[in-house]
Amino acid sequence: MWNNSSLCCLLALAILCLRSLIYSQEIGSLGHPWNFKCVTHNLRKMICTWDVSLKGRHGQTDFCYTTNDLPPPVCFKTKEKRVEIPVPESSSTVTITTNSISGTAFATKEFEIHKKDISFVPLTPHILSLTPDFSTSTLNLKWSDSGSVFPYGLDAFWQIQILRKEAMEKVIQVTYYSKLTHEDIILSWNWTSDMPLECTSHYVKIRCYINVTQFVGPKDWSDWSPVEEVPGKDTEPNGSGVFPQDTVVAVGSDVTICCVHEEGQQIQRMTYGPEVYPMIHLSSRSSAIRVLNASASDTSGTNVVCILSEDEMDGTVLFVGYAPDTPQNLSCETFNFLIIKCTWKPGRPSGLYGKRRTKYSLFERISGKNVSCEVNEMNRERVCGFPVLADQNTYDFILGVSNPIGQTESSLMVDLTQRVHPKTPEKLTVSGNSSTSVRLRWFINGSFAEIRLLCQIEISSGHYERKLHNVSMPGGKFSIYTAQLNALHPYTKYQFRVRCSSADHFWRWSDWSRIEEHTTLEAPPARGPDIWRERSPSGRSLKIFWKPLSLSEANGKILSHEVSCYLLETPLEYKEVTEPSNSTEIKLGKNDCVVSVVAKNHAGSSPPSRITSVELPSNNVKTDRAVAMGNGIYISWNSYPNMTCGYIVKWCHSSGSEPCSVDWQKFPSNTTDAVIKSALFRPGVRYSFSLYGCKSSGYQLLKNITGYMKELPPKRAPNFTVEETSSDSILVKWEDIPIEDCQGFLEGYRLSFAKGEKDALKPRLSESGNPELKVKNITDLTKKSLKILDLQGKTSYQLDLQAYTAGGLSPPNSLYVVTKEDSVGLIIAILIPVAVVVLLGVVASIFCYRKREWIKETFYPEIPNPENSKALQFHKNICEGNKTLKTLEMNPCTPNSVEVVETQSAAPKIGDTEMMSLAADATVPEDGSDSEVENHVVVSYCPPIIEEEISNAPMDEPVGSSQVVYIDIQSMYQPQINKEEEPEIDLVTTAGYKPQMQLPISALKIESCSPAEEELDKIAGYRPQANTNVWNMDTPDSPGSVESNNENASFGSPCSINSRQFLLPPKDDEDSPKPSNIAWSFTHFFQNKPND
Amino acid sequence: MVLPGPGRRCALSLVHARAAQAMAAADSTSATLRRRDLCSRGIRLAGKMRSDVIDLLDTYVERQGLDASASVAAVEGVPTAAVERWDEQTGTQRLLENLAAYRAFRALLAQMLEEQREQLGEADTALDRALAAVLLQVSAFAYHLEELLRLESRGPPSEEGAGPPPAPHLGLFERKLRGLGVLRELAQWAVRSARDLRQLAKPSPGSSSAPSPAESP
Repeated sequence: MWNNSSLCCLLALAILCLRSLIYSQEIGSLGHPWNFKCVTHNLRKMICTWDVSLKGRHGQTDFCYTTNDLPPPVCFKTKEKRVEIPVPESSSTVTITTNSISGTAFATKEFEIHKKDISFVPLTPHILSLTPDFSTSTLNLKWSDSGSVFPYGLDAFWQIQILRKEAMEKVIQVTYYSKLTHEDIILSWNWTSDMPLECTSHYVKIRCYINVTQFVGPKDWSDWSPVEEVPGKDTEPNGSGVFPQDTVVAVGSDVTICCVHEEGQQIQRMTYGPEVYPMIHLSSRSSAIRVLNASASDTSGTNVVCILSEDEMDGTVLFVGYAPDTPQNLSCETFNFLIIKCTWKPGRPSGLYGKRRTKYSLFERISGKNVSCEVNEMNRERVCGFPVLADQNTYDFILGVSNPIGQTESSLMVDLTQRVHPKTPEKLTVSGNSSTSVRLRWFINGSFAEIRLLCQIEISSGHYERKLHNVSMPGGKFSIYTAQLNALHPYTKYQFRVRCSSADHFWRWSDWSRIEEHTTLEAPPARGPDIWRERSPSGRSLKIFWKPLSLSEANGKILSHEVSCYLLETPLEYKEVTEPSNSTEIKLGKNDCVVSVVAKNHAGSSPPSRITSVELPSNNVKTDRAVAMGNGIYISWNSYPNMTCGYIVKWCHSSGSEPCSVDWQKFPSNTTDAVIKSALFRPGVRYSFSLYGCKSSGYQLLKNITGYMKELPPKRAPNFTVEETSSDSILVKWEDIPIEDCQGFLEGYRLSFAKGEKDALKPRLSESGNPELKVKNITDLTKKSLKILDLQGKTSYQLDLQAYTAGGLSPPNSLYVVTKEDSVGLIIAILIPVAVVVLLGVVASIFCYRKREWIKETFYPEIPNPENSKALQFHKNICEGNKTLKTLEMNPCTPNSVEVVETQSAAPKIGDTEMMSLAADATVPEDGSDSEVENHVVVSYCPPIIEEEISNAPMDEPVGSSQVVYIDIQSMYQPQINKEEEPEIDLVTTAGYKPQMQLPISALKIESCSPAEEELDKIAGYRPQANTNVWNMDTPDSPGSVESNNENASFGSPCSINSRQFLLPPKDDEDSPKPSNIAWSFTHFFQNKPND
Repeated sequence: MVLPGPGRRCALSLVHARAAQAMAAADSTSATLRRRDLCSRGIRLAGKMRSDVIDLLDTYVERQGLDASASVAAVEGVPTAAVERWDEQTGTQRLLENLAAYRAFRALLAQMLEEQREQLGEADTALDRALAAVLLQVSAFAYHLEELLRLESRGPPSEEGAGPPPAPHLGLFERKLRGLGVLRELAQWAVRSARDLRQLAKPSPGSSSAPSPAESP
């Protein structure tokens, strides 16, 4: 680094030395001129300077120069060491002679100047003006290019430096380019500061470089101009404030805001909106904050506050918004050829309001006319008016948009004749004195003389379809327009409204005018009414019916009907029947005539309708059924070729108590079916139709038809009664249902029956899901009774009867019947078992009598053989066979235990007496569990063994003198309760679980528990929570009982050490009591029926 | 009945004097009643005005992005409600001060409304409406005070020169602060006016009697 710079310095020095050698030949010679050099500022003249190596004073200098073009030298005297001479074309010889003060020459020196040795340095530019625009923080710099002294077309470069703060820190240096035009031009350059100019002082200086390509000498930048200053507010004695003041910036820009205060004050903090920003020190009286990427401000702007002390603050408001968006959907049209209305959508809101809002102007390029638009900022669509110009149809609009941040525009070219949107037609009037035509008049506010208008008239009425009628007419200037409408219906209230558009180039319809109503006048009815006649049952009078004419046929309000009767052109009867009657009766006697009916309104009479009264005789008139079809009734008939003038279907509507109203429909003679529809038809109502054929001689009844528009289920079921009951059958009879309750053609009856008691809450049979439900379907409608067979005797049955049509089932009628008792069966049921028992008894007696020796030998021998003894076999089995019995395991079977042998025959007796005494001693529980106790006693056996076992048991002592001990499941656990464990038991009993029910302790009482145990029970330590009686399944000491106990799941149940009861009942506790239950069931078999 | 000569004249003058006395008494009673009525209505107006100004202050502070706790130095041209020796003021003095203040407020609020419309256009109609409503109340109250002054047998002073000085060229922020100051002071004035009117409404021998010191605000 150092080496490089020193090398550069040396090189520069060498160049300077070399140049000195060139320009001055002798340096250091006394009085000799040296260091001769020439510089040009304008390429025409150059300024040459030299030095003289003379320390003392010298006189004038003779200066001569020659050029190649001008051989005679030009000489002059000068006192300075600086001359201005023309720039030579190629080179020039200069002779400088220095004279003493007295005028004698003491040194002469000649220099040859080549053009390449002449330097070109433009004159230092001079700043003409430096104008600050504080509102935009812009500096405007003006200077002259002095181009007049240079040839045309030279490139000039201007270097401008901006400095800031007292320390003159360079902010920016830019190079400005211009072309010299051989004229003195004032150049101008603007620079916008990123910091408000008020914040601190700004300085500007400038220099230039002119690129003279043809100049061969060295060229250099001019010197910097003197600095121009724009002082900041911080230099003013009382200058203070926050800057920029109330300015507008674009969203996303970086903004510097400064606070200038007076001497001696201190800024505490500066906030932008709600946020405190770090401050940038500018000067002793000025600090700034920099807000980067500013976001859109509120409508009232963002406050920037400079807090100097608690009570002193200064601030400014910054508005941050968007440049205007390009208007969208610009569209222009005229509604009156006076004003062109242009509309557009403003696009993105600028976020600037009030005086900073976006402003619009409409400029028309062809005419050059400009209008500014007053628009409502809050409207989504903007509107601007432009006057229609005379003799101009094409308009080329430019919509200019601007706000403080920016501007944009949108353009549109329109042919006004193609953009006509007339105003709403006004003052619409309708006039007319006819039943079929009217004249409409309306006014349109606008001048449409240059175009034709197409107007659309909407014609609507309550009864006819809406129609649109288009009328084209020449436009006028604020004119009234008229249109004639024909072919309207008489006596009809019409609503008219009009809208218009341009006929030649449709653009848009105007809005509809308000609606105007008009009713056309009446006209005579268009046709005669549709008529029918019926002879009275007596045949002496004729009733004539007619149907009212439709509105389109009546052509007015029908006032009356004229009814007349002619017999061969001779009027027999004439009647005028006023509205609203639609029938009349005329007395004919036995005569026939042609009836004529004419409808009349204010405008006149209708053509007459005629019908003959002649009714042709008919034979075998059948009645058919019609079929429901949709919301009508379908009827059909055969073709009758001799019916020349068609068919008439007549029916009658009856509603409530009023007499039925006759209705009819006529069909041409080629018709053989029809769907009769009427708004009066109701579902479930039977209608009767009569089909008449029309002949020239009269009308003939062809057939009758009945039908429903829709069949419904019958309203109710037929009433029915039970005529007769036996032990296995019921005879049921029912009545017919009235036709009005049928609501359809009856198809049959449905009788359901099942066993059942009378119960109001019981569901219907069909819904009960009873599996025994039986249903009988009766399709023969003539049948009015039914016998139900195969029933059970003395049983209650529920019977439901329903009727049904194609529409469904009626609600049922129910009856409850109890069949009679079957006495024979009952007798048989009693006698047979009795007979069987007696027979068995007799057989057994006979058998025993005959085999009495064998029986005695086997069961009661004189010397009993132990091997033959069943009882001993029993014990043997116990001892040898069943290893699973814990009781037996614990007490090994020894022969001497069979001491029963010694007492021989007494043994059974003792056993019996013991059992009897036990039964007598046993305390019978009061809770009705005697049956169980009884079971214990009856079935228990083998007392000696029991005694033996009990004598070995450790708990015998407390038992005392009791001869018989029930060995049940509980006793097996008795050894667990010994005296050693009693303290523990005490502990348990005193602090243990409290019972939730009273324990039945009969079993324990029988066992004669020790007083301590009794006491324990009384204290009631743990007690079972279920009824323990249930758990005593069988007699514990019986063989079966022992086995069952062994197999009993109770063995696995936890047992309270205190209560000796199983805490959990055995799983098969429901099975265990079965034997006793079964026994009970058998005993009661003939007394109780099952609960079914 | 006709009385002869001077006796009649005397009697007449006596009658006149009594009638005049009675009339004067009646006038005085009706004037007192009217004054009381005007005062009580004025108190209600002031109460409503204060409530509305407090609401407006909230809206104003929010919409202008100002700090509600910002202290605002006394604004030039805005009359201050605080007064020394309030209890020694006469009724007329009170009315005159009130009237001057509300006339000033009327002008200041009109100025604020105009500036608001200029700055925000139609962007903030809520603030615009609230300002206009308060301006209307201030005008009504000033008119009410004029009525009271007329009842005091002293017409209201002319409005010439009573308006605020022409608005100095202020920055937008300063105008916001000025508006805040105006509204705060107006809220104070609404309180003072209610007390002034309550004082006036009290039965006293003359409208110019001073209230007791204990009743000073």
